[in-house]
Amino acid sequence: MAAKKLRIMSAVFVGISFFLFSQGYGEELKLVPKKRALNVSDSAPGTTVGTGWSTKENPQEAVKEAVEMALEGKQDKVPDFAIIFASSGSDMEAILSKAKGLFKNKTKIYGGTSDSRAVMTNKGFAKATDRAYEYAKMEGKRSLAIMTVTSQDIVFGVGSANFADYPSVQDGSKDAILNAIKSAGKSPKELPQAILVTPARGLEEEAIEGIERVVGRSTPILGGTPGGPTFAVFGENKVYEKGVSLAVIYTKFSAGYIFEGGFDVKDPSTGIVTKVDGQAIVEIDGKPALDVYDAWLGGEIGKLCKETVRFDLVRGLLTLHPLYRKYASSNGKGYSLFSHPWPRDKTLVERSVSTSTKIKVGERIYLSHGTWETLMNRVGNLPKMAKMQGRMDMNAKPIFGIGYICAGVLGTIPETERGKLPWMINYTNNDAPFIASFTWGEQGYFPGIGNKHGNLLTSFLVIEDKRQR
Amino acid sequence: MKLFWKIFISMFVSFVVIVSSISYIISAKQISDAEKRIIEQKKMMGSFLSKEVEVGYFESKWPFESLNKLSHHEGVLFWWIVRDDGTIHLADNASFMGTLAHDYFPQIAGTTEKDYIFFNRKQNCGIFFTPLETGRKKWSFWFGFSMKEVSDRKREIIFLTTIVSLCALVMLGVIPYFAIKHFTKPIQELTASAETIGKGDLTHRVKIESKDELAQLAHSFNKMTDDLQKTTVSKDFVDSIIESMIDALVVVDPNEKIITVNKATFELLGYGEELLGKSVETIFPDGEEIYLKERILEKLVQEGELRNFETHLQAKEGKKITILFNGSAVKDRDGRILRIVCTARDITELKRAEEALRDSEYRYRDLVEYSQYLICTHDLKGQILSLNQGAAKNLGYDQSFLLKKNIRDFLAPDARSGFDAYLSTIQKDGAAEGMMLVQTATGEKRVWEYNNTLRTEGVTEPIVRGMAHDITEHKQVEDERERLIKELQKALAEIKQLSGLLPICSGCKKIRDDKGYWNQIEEYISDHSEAIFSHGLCPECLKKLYPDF
Repeated sequence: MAAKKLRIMSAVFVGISFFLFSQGYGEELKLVPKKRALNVSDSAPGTTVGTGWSTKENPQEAVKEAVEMALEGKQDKVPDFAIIFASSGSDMEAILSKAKGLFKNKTKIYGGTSDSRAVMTNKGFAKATDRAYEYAKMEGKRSLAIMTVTSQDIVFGVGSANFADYPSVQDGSKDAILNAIKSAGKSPKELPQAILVTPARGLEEEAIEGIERVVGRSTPILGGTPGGPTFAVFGENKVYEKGVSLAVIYTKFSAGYIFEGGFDVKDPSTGIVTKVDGQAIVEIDGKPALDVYDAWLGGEIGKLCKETVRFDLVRGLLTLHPLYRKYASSNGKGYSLFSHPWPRDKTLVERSVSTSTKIKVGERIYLSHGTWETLMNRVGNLPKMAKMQGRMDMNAKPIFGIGYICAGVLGTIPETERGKLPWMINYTNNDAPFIASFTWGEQGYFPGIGNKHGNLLTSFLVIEDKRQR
Repeated sequence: MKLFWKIFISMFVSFVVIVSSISYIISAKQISDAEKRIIEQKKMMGSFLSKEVEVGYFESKWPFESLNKLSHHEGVLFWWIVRDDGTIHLADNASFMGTLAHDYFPQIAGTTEKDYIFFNRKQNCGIFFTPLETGRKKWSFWFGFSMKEVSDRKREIIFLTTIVSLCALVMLGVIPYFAIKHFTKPIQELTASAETIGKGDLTHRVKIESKDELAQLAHSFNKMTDDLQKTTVSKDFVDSIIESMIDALVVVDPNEKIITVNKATFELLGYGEELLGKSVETIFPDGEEIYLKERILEKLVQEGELRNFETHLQAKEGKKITILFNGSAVKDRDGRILRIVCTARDITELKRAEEALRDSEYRYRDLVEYSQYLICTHDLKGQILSLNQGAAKNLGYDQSFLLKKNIRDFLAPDARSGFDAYLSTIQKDGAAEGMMLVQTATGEKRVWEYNNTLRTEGVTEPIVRGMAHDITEHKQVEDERERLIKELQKALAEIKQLSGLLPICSGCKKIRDDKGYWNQIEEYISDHSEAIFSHGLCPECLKKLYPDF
């Protein structure tokens, strides 16, 4: 009897202890994102802008979905102008064909491939894959973005060229810009507010040169090299691997643009390029370029490859420490044109540094530094910077924005952070529609200096109707 | 419950309560401290980050690296930088950017308190909120953190406290266990001794080696046992008596359950120990329950005892046994019945003997009653003590009438004078025989020949066994016979003269009379006696005379 009571008492004590022990808190918080209320109202009377995206693998379905999204709520289902960026590896011909079909061959289409990882609009970061380069095709993940514009006040013209059809890239580009101007119903004497360009990789400087032969060096050219690892640009009816797709914008509205990298340019390390080979710097100050570079970085390259050569790590390191050239306008404002360096030889035996830009012998190059944080902030602030450049009201909502963001920059940003980019841009862009491609080279305009091609840069254009102020 | 357990459980329960209370207080304090510490940590973290965010706001350079580290910080569920309109400007998860913070936590809407911590225990989280110093636009910084750390810590504390408490309780249980056992051992021994003695073993003594009050108690107890032993019959002795009883003993409780039986009961009824605990009805024949209850138990309850009540028991194999039942109720001071003690004596043989005796008596009575002899007993004064019907009938009186009468009164008046001599003879010689002349109710005189004896053994007063038979007729016959004898003697005398002096012809068998004449034998005998001859042939003569017949 007593032992039974003792057992009961012990059981009660253990039970209470277990109860207390098991008494914690409830289920851990699991938040489910709410639906966003996007401000998709048009910013200018007479101008309708829409954006859409799709991650469907089937190109026709992707185009259809993105176009439907872009034109949702719009009366006119055949826009004047459409920009299409699709992740590398996409069937660009099918995309062009479908888009033209949907737009009844009446819409002027400009665009090309974005980096295999993503495209972006104000409606979100459309991720195709986490990986880049040669993995894109293998994984079969695709993304596509479109921006459509119908406007009484903005005139677009598109042109393209397959460089293979021309004696030089410059000729092809010249022909393409002339076609674009003609497409806009303008004469070559009428300079557009801005030119959007997507030139073939490695031929960017030549393409710019060809365009400037028509519009001069004072017309801003903003663009981006198609994203890889497979490259393509849209022609009027075809897709070119080595060609240029461009668009001209004529409007009385204000245009603001920005072309910069966001890297820290205070490092004193500098040298003169003494030997080049194409887009590769062979020597700096007469020494192997990679050795000089490594010295500037305090031997970091050597440390990474102490035991075994880790090309991917070296490339990652160098992405955040690009080389740049300085330019100064007549009014004294300085600009930095960055080049994305990486060892030309993956084994690091050959000590040249590739840059994706054509740096000439005798040019002075400098070392810059950056972090993914600074680059991400820079992307987020692109519309703001563009508006500042265009002397626009910071609180005004642009009509639209077009961005070219270096894929290298994207690569430095952790995957978990990339999705924030469109929402950061939306804020500084006052929720105006925009489209952006992740490019393998960027083109932009340094006021007072001219149009340049560089790497690890971001180029952004905003158009604002100042009448709305 | 034993005293040991009472003390132990009381102490142990007290320890449990004390230890539990202390454990609870310590746990609660530790949990509270842990909670506060974690909250302070989160506050510091949030406050520090919010400063970075403020700087980032003004420089348009958000501290993504710090925020990213925050995202990966253990226990951090989310972080948000919220615009003045409530829109989430930046978030760890981009899916939340552009949505409204207050849609998720309406409780925090309108909060302006700096470094405010909102607890949502239901969702196991806390939310740090602080407004940012962003000038006119009041942005805010939020981050949610899991309370899992707290709950884990809480579990840890409770687990540790429980283990420590259990250890403490084990120690606090073991020490009193042995202490109480040590102190209660003499009491247990006293209890055991009391039980032993209570069972009747008065030789048992308590062994207490200490010198405390318990030892004194034990000493007193032993002394009491000594006294008891001197004055009390031990239980063994009683048990022996009970076991040696020839009569069956059954002790029944007030619920009519059998609680004690003796060996004789087992032998009588053929049951074993299984009888104990059963209803007393078990040992009574089927169908006698009402009888048992109304005649035995009720009487026992009402009167307290029942003596020599003849009834039946039923043995295990079903045999019905006639018994003489005696029962008594053992009552307490309030008159409540505690036990009913019953004894049963098997009187089957006795009944059989009684029956035999009754038969024998009947036969003898019948023999005496219907004997042709006149049988009676009388005292030495002649007072009739008993007599049979034959005697009464012979005298012509009713049998009951004659009892207590004196024999003298029924003697013929001329014979009464010899009665005293008769009494004297029988008293003296122990026997007397002879004839007495009695006078019947009708006045007829009859002769009784008696042969009486004196009985002195087995009786308080000598009595006379009287045995007589009426010889009146016999007497008359005898008298007649006497007369006939006399006549015969006379005739015999005549027959003797005839046979002694008769000369008979050897040839013709004629007898010569006194006169000298030869007479035919038949004529002579017929003339000289009463004899009459009838004639016939003997077989030889027949054969001789009538050979052809």
